Amino acid sequence: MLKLNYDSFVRWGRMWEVELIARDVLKRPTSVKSWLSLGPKMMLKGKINPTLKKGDTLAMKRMVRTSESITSAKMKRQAAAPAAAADATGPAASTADGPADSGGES
Amino acid sequence: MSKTLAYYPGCSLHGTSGEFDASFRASARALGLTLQEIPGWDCCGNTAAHSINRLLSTALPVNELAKVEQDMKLDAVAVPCAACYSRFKTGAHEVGEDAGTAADVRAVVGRPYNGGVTVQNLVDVYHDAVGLDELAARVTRPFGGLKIACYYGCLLTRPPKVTLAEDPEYPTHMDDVVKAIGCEPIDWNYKTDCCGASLALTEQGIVDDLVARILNDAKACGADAVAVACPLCQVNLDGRQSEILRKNSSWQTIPVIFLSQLVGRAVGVSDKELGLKKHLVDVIAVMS
Repeated sequence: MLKLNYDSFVRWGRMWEVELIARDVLKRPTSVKSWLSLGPKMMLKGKINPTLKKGDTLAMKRMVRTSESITSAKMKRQAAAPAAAADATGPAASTADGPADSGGES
Repeated sequence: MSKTLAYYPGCSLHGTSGEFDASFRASARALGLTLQEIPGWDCCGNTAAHSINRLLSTALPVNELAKVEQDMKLDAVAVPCAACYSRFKTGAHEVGEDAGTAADVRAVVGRPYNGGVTVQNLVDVYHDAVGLDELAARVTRPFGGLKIACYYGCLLTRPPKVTLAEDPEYPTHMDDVVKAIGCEPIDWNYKTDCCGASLALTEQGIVDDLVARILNDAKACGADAVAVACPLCQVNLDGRQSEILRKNSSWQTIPVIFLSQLVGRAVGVSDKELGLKKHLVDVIAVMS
């Protein structure tokens, strides 16, 4: 459901409730029962607006792209950091600790 | 009094809670406030962005704040949806607290936000932007002591380090507002308990239990109606009552009214404009 919600506002700039419900029913056909308990009553009261006023979809898509690229770059850096640290500490450790360890072992 | 606020309606007020949008605009107009809707506003990201793309969830509200600050040249924005309000306050807080986050958000938004905008929820608008004395002075149709349980929900006051709410667990500002329009706020126990929020989409049974607990306490404490300032809380507390009644035939329904509808009616806005007929549990009987 969170992903459907996310995809909806990324697509339109704003979350479109009608689309969200339709996609949820397509994805989880059993959910139709829970929608039917309230949906028709809300529709009769005019609470469900079938139309959508779009937001600034260009700005939304640009922000999504940039945020994903920054986050992805950070994750790559974080993933690389332990390996780099291990590379850096490995030889250093053997150099620095080597005599002590050797001493200990001897 | 003439004051201009930027206005961010959010997706729910353009969807299932159109009466919240209409009543807020109408009450603001009657109170001498000018609301300028942010042009081309985008979704605040709500829970979904927060869970899927954390940086975007901070950048989206900050992008709107930057528009208010730099394009609209205003120093305050009204955000009546409690969930959007929470995202706006969190976004502003995060860029103000952490230079690294601020730099990332600036890259996403494409410009800096300098922190020059006050974010006001529905209660803040009436309590602070209008003021209690001014509000009381504008009342033309006072409620004759209608007993109201003021329901704040999770997000209007929490987390306190972000919202800076004076008393996050037992807030009273909404109580002050309803008192100013002639209602009698009651003391009760579930002011800031969760209604189940978006679990209503996937776990209706849990939401029904939470809603029943909240409303039972309001009724036990003598409330004639519950006032809310969040579209999701209103949909849950109002809409789930038919299902609760189906499970428990002795259930007594209780009206759940947007604070903006109460204020609007008190300052002379017509019932039609307030959208009073859009509720699933009738509110007109207690409002007249």
